Parts: sequence; C-alpha cells; structure tokens
Amino acid sequence: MTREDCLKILEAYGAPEHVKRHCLGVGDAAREIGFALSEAGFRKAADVGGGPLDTDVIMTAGYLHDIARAGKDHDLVGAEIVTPIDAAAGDVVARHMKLIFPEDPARITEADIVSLADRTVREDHYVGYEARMADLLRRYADQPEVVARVHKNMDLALRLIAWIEDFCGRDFQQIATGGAVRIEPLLERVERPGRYIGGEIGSVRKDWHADAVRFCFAFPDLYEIGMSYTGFQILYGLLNAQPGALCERVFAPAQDMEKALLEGDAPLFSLESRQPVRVFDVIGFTLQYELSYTNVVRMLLLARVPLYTSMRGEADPFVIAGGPCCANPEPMAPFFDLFCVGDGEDTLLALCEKLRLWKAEKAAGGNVVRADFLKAAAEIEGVYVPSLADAGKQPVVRRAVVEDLENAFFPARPVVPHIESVHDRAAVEIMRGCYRSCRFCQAGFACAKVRRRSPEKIKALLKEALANTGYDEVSLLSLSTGDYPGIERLVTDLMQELAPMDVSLSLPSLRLDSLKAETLEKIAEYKRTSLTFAPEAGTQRLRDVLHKQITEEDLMRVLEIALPLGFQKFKFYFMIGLPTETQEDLDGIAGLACAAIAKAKALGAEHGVKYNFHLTVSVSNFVPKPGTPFERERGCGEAELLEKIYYLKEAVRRAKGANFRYHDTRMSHIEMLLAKGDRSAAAVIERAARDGAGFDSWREYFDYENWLRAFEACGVPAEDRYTGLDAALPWAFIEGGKEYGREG
Amino acid sequence: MKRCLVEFTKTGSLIYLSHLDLTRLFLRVLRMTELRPSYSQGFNPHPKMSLALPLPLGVHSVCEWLEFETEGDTGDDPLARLNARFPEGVHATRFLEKPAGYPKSLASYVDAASYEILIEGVEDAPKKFEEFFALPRIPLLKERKGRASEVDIRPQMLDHRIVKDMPGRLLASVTLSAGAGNTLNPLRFTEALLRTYPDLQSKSMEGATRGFPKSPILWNLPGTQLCPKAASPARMVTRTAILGADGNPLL
Repeated sequence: MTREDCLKILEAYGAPEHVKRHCLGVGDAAREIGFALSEAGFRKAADVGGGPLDTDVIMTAGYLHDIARAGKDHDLVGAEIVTPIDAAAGDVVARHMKLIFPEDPARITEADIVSLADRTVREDHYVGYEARMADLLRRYADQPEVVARVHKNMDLALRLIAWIEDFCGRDFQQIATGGAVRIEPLLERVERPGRYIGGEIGSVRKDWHADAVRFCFAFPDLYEIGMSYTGFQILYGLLNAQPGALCERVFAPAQDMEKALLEGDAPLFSLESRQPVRVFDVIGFTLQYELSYTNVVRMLLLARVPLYTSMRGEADPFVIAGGPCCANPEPMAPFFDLFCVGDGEDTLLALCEKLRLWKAEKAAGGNVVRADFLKAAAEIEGVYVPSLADAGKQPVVRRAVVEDLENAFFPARPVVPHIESVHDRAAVEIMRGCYRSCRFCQAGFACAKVRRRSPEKIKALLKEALANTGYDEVSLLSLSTGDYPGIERLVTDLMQELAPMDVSLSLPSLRLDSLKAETLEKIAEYKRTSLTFAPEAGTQRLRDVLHKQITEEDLMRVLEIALPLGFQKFKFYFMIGLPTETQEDLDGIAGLACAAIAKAKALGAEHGVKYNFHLTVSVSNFVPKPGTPFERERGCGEAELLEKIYYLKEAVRRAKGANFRYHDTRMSHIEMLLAKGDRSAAAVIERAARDGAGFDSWREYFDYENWLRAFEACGVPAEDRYTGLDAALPWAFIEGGKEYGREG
Repeated sequence: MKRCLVEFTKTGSLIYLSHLDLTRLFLRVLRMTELRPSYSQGFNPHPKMSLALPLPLGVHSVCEWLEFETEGDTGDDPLARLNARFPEGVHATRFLEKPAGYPKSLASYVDAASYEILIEGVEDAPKKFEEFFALPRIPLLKERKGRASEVDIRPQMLDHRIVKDMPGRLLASVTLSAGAGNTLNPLRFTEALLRTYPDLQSKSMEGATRGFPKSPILWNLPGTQLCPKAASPARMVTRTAILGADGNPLL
C-alpha cells in the first residue's frame, strides 16, 4: 500500500482530519525507521521470522494504525478493517496499543517499529519519545495500569532507540524524520509561505528511498520567477520521467525566509521531500542572468555546501550549472564542479547515467572518488569541468544541441505554481534557435541553428497541458515567434480552437514587422492593450551594424494597421552604449518617436478621428555578451551610460507626447563586469554576497556601492579588461561567437 | 445554468496557501474537471465562483464552502473527479446543487464561525480561558492605513466551550462573528488571549531542526523583518463550522 492508497482508505472510512494527519505522520516516521534499518543491513532474528523487515507492512500498518480512532476499541476495530487488506499489517494494528518492546533490541519486528513511531510523533510531527511519554503520563495520571505499562515500556524503548541509533550510526530524530527539515515553524514567520510548501498540481514526489540519482534543480531567484521559466519545467519533467532519477526543486528564499533559516538553524531544503539540499547527489543551478550570481553563493551557504569546488569532500553533492550564462563560465567556475553548455536535455541524461554507474561502483566498495566521476563527465559533449582545465590548454567545449525538437521531451503535466507567478499560463516551445542574427543577442548566437515543432505537435501539446493544468491562457515560446513559418495560420487556428474553452493566446517575442494585417486583426479581437516594437537603434546605419532588420517604414506600416484596429499603447525598445554609436544615433531615437507621433496625428486627420496614441520609449544599456560578435566590444562605464541617458531623456522630452523609461545604469555596469569577467570575479561575487548582496536584479535590493567595495577589496578593477582583437578572452574555449568578426 | 456548492477541508501544508491563491487553485481544478464556471459579461470577465468565508493563512479547516455557477452538465460523480485533481491538503467532502430558496450568495448569509483552539503551557488554562470570556471589554490595537486605533473585540466573541481539558493542554471551541464587515480573525482572538495571559503559549515553535552543524555564515540582511507572529499558535487553530444567520452551520 502506498501513502496515497492509505490516504484514500482513511478518507473512504471517514477518519477525522486530525486522525488522518496523525496516521500519515506515524506512517512516515515508521517507514523512515524501517528503511534506515534495512539500509544499514538489519535482519530479523530467526525466531521472529528472519529476513529483512517488510517495509510494506510497516507502511500499511503505520498509515492506517488509528483508522478507527474516533470510536471505542479502536485498535481491534482498526485491525478488522486492515486485516482484509494486509493480514500482517492488521496484526500490527491490533497490537499497537498494548505492545511491550522486546528485552533484546535485536529481536525487533515490524510491529515494534510502528509502535515506536507512534510513541515519538505528536499529531503529525516528530517530537521524540520523552515528550510523548510525558503527554501520556499526564493524560492517564488517574489510570495506574496505563502508567505502569508506560513505565515498564520506557526503559525498553529508550534502550531500543539507543540500539537503533548505534546500528544506523545516526541520531534517532534524523532517522525518524528521514532527515527532512521541519518547515512549519519557519513558514509561520515569513511572507507568502506558499513559495516553500511544494505539492502543487503537476509536482512530482518520487520515493526518496528508490535507487535513483537524486537531483535538486536550483533556481537562484524567487519561486514566482523561477516557476515561470519553461526550461525548468522541461528538465524537471524529463528527469522525473526517468526511472533512475528523482528531481526536486529549490528556489532562492526571500530575505525573510533566509533570516528564518539562519535563526532557526535550519538548512536550505527542497520543496518536495523537504530534504536538506546538501544530501542530494547533484545540485543543478540554472544561470539565466549574471545578476543572480550572488544568490547562487547565498543558496550554497544556506545549504551548507562548501562554497568552492576545491573545498568539497566525498560526502558533498556535485554542484553543477547550465543556462545561457555558461557562454562565459569563468566568473563562476570556482563554485561549480561542472558546467553544461548548450541544450541541457541530452547532457543531463548522460550525466545522470554516468553518476548512476559511479554511485553503484562506490556502493559496491569500489575505490572511486569524486574526480573519477568528473573525468567521466568531461567526456560528454557540452560538459566543461573547471577543475580538469589546464590553464590555457582547455580544449574547445562544444555546445550540446538537441537536433530533433519535434520529438524532444516536452512536459504534458507542467507544475502549476501555488502563488501568482510572472507567467501563469501553459506554454509550448515552438522553435529553438533564431533565423535572425542580431549581433548583440546572446540567446540568438547560443543556439543559432533553428529547430521547430510542427503545428500538429504544438496543438497536441497545448491541449494536453490545458487538460492537466486548467490554465486559461496559453503562450507560444521561441526567440522570435513571428519568424515561425506559417505563424499566421497557427495563430488563427489556435484562436479558433481555444476561444470556446475561454482560453486566450499570448504571443511574446512577436516581431511586428513580420506580421500580416490579418494576424494583427485576430489579436485585436481579444487584446487591445499594447504593442511593442524593438528597433534597438535610432538610425538605419546603426541598425545595419546590429543586423537588426527593421526599417522606419516597417514601423509606420504597423501604425497604419494597428491604430484603426483600436490599439492605443505602443512601446519602442532601444539600446544605448552600442558599438560605433554617435550623437546622431541618440538623436535618431528621439527622431523616431517624433515621427511616430506625427504619423498618428496624420492618420487621424486622414481618417477623420483623433486616435489615442500613447508611446513609451524604453531604453536599456548595451552589455557586450560573450559568444556574440560584439564580445570584444568595450562595455561602457557607469558615468558614460548615465550621460547618454540624460541626453536622451531631454531629447525625448522635447519630442512631447512620449514617455521615457530607462534601465538602471549601475545594474548594467555590474552585469557587464560579471558577463565579461574572468576567474578573479568569483572572489568579488563571494565578497559582495557576504556583505549583503543578493537579488541584484531587484532594484530595491541592488546596492552598487557594495559591489564597488567588493571589487576594490579583492583588487579587481571595475572595468572591462577584455576588448579589442588582441585580448585573450577568458571564455575563448567555449564554442561560438569568437569566429564571427564585425564584418562577418 | 446550475448553482453548485462544494464543501471541503483545507489542511496540511496547504493551510499556508492564501485565500487568493486558493481561489485560483479552485478555478483551475474546476476547469480541469469539466465543471467550468460561468464567466461574467463585460469588459473584464471573471469566473462566477466564490468562497463562503476567507480562511486566514495558517488556520486549518474542516468546513469550507465554495459556490460557483456552471453552464454545462455536472456529469458523473463530480466529488470524485474533484478529489482526483486536488493536491494533498484540499479534500472535497460534499458536492450539491444549491437548494431552491437558499440565499443568493453564501458569503452574504454567513454570520459567525466556530474554531477549535489548542492552548498549551500551563495547568490552569481552563480557568484563565473562562476569565477571559468574563471580561467586559477586550481592547486590541488595529492598524489601518498606517494609523493605529483601538477596537473592543469582546462583542465579536459570541460563544465558547471547553472541548477537552487535559493536563497542561486545553482544547477549546470559540464562536466568533464573521461575515460582511464584522469578522473577527481567530488569530486576532488568540493574539488578544495570549496578550492578556502571556504564560499561555503555543508549542508550535519547538524542535525546528536539530542535528545540523551551526551555520558558519553571517551576513547583513539590511532591513529584513520577520513577521511578528513568531509566537502565534496558528497551527493549532481549526475552523469547525461556518454559521448562517439562523445560527446553524451552512446546509
């Protein structure tokens, strides 16, 4: 009987809530004790049956022991219910109230383990034998026969507990709780505790004791950010679909939870089984943006995993990383045992297989150490092991590529976040890679080869995801959705199919220049909020340098179609600090805004109406990214960027009628330093994190001065040191980017 | 059009799911089980479903009610279909179509709610509990929009009863007023009780985790504040009934 089966039986019988909770708590504890003894090699004495403990009996009896608690003689009535399901478990239930522990601890049986668990669990959580006996002695103070039995059993029980601790080599609380962290006292002290409880629709909790590689997926930002990341949904689903692997999750705890963990002296835990993160075989971080690096450090410290690879011992987990930031692994290299460069799916499966073999050999008493696994892992395509890299002699690390997206794994049962997240919707990745080659775009160059899913596959995946999540919004994901061949047809079909289900379609990364008028009309039917457009630069000359294939005419054409359809809000995205940028290019940004405003007026005059036209000019700061043709370009300093912003702000203000938004120049400066950093950046990142940096991409937490102090303290200059064709790039051994020149 | 009612329990970890998040969970489960709620007309359509009485974060309940309207057929055994989809911690116990003549919305009919509260720590808890209810006035600070004012919660404490008196532990039942603009949160009630008798206390903070090495790290957490409810006995408060204007449990 599984835990779920037993819960159904308890519910069918109508056991009250507190009884159900107690039964589950006792069953869990009994199961953990049973497993711990079995793992340590315990065998029953010959005269009580011999052989290993029957954990099935322990679980069934534990989870159902108080099923009849609401009535009289609940042990006997309970046994009558349980016996037809499992006779041996029924026998345990019948005896659980009056059992006397054996004089010789080595003669324990399944019944003793259930009884011992029952006597250490109050309500649904472990409190220890002494605390429970104090409860009993107070409750039955007026019943001498009960008091006598408690007293008689107490000596035997304490001896039994000491014997089990000795046999398993662990503290009894650790054994009975399976090492899980008790999180309720922490939850009571923090905002939005739903971030930490797990158990969502679609979440998977595999048997912790199964013979599997235990993988903890770590996202170095808040739950509601990480849960919106489709890459996590793919890898979580993929790993849990493997019989030989188990995947759980951990996100960066918000600052209040971080404080509660420290004050409560509790380690960072996984959401599913609440195990300390450090008892997993692998902790796999995804590095999506540089400003999350300090959260990685804080999470490792909270997890109590040695921060540096060089400090980790044989009992520590492997700490690995993947994601776009692996285009330059060097700043984080001292923290990670290995990096997965490129698409993660095949690499992770190969890693798990090698780890399974390594663990098996280790368990069989083979003479293997951490370095053996790392050596084996380094043979997998896309894997970079910093500790094996010989300075300057590291061979090129090729990016792993999933060739066949059509048949690649995609989760049909995504995890539905408990609390409102950035994107609460079912998403399908329709295309990987990008047809464009905008020279600043790291994502576009990281997976330049375009792979697609067929419209039929996309529709099937969406349908399945909707049935398993109940979402009312779906989204088509890719780097540039408008470039998907046949996108108009796909969007029109989907809208027709989804409308009767009250499901709406959202299309991020839609390039308006590539859209036909009919598609825009379709979108206008249900969404008339805002349209975004990313010319990126103010003049055609600079747009050509960027390879950004948008012209002013494209933009005006979209206005001609969109304004009559009722769209009112428009956003134009630009970058400043670009290579070859001049004053003229900055003026061009304000010029485009003026042209758009004039166009809206002219169209109104032409159609005899006054269009509501709200324009936002949004400016971000160019950060040269490793792996792109611009990787050798100089990243601007903070003062330089700020000067440009102020100039532009004034120019756009003069244009009248456009809002101006800009990105924090100080954040961009640190992002640039981390993106183009070398190994010396690791010490800076650690210093900054220990001095309070964390959640650096959140404006309210970002502390620029602290970062500058950290750079100074570590003797690392806070400027871009890798520019020009002669620079020896620290990330040169990672495939991609470097072979492209500015003209290429 | 059908008006449906679901009675359910909320326990386990899911007591830490907020009212808003629970509502969203229900919407999804209803959509997954082909019990799609009707949507209101208008510019910003929203599903026609509501919970009879919001449950404070951290409180267990065995008697929650959800009502919703649906256009379609409710099909075979909707109760089992719902339970197959609910995550552990939410469990539906009854599914019915709203009886004719019942008030248009359950929320508007709710008048009070009963809670079981476990109090631990001292031997004479029953006496103190009775004394507390004998007080003529129980002022409690209330903060709204940054301004603190004092309110008397005594008129909102309707009834009380000792369920089980165990040495050192007391299980008591209280009935507090609830519904439109006149709800006394059970956690505010326990806050007032513990403020009056500081030696009564919760044991829910005991034994968080032991056996791990002391944390080797120390860093600044600028401006981080933990919720001041560290001593709240929230884990031990269970809602046992929602009462209508007639003083009886709903349905």
